[in-house]
Amino acid sequence: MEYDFINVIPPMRAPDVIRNSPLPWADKWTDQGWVEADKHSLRHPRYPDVFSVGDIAGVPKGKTAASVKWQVPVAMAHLIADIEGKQSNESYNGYTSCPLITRVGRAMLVEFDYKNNLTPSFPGVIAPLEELWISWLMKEVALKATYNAMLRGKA
Amino acid sequence: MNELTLSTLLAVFEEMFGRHLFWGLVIACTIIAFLFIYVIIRDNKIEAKRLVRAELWAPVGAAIGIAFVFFITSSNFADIGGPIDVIVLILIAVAGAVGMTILAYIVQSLSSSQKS
Ligand SMILES: Cc1cc2nc3c(=O)[nH]c(=O)nc-3n(C[C@H](O)[C@H](O)[C@H](O)COP(=O)(O)OP(=O)(O)OC[C@H]3O[C@@H](n4cnc5c(N)ncnc54)[C@H](O)[C@@H]3O)c2cc1C
Repeated sequence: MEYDFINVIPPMRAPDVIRNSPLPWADKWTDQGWVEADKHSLRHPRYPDVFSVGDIAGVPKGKTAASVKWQVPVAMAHLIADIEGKQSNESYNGYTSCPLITRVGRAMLVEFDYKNNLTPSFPGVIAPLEELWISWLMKEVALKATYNAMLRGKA
Repeated sequence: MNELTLSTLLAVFEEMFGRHLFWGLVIACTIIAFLFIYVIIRDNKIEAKRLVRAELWAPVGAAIGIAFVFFITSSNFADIGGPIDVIVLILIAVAGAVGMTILAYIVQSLSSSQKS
């Protein structure tokens, strides 16, 4: 069979500790067990003191380290507001990033939100829908470094 | 933490190079910058002859800069895809050229002072 592009994704699911808990959605992704969450506030509808960020969050986009970067400040704002007895309007828009490597040396840095709007981090500089060397450079040297810095709470 | 701050940039660079190499490079650049200022103050001018000779090294620096970036990112000229890629390449070349020129100028100035 001829094809231009192949994208193989192995089955993914939440770890047992989550799947065997009351946290996952009852009617969505039931075979995968992601945590039920409001897709904008990331708050659990049934357990309001539970927030989920990262791959475990049962939201329609995300599942990237890049998403985590935008989810954490939202969950944090709501947690802090709760502690202070206030309300937060912070909202996660579904931002995610797919550095698509099209060959060794070139990539497309495609970023988009829940509505599939393109949300480029470098508008006018890095065109999301072009195969570029600069996108490959970002992927090769900058992205992993940024996510590692994020784990240190610095990015 | 949505804004890009200096501490974010420093943390990212630390992750990129490794903490020791990054700060080592910062210190090396600072020393080179001070040496450059030192020889200019010492000679009370920029020696035109030396500068011209140092500039001969600029293309070498540009080539080394580009070769280095291609090497660490496993890419080559065939991967240049759009205008922005050409701009990035030129910036890397300019950085290499300026760095090498300054280095060559310092080396000449310091070695000529040893002779005299
Ligand atoms: C091949 C590949 C390429 C990718 N490329 C990119 C990319 O270029 N850009 C990007 O943004 N994202 C990328 N991602 C996605 C990114 O890696 C994930 O979205 C991100 O790591 C999710 O972080 P997390 O902390 O939510 O989950 P994880 O990183 O999976 O962390 C969950 C942790 O929980 C631990 N754990 C599980 N069960 C238990 C338990 N019972 N007790 C204690 N600990 C437990 C696990 O061991 C794990 O360390 C890629 C993913 C893959 C697989």
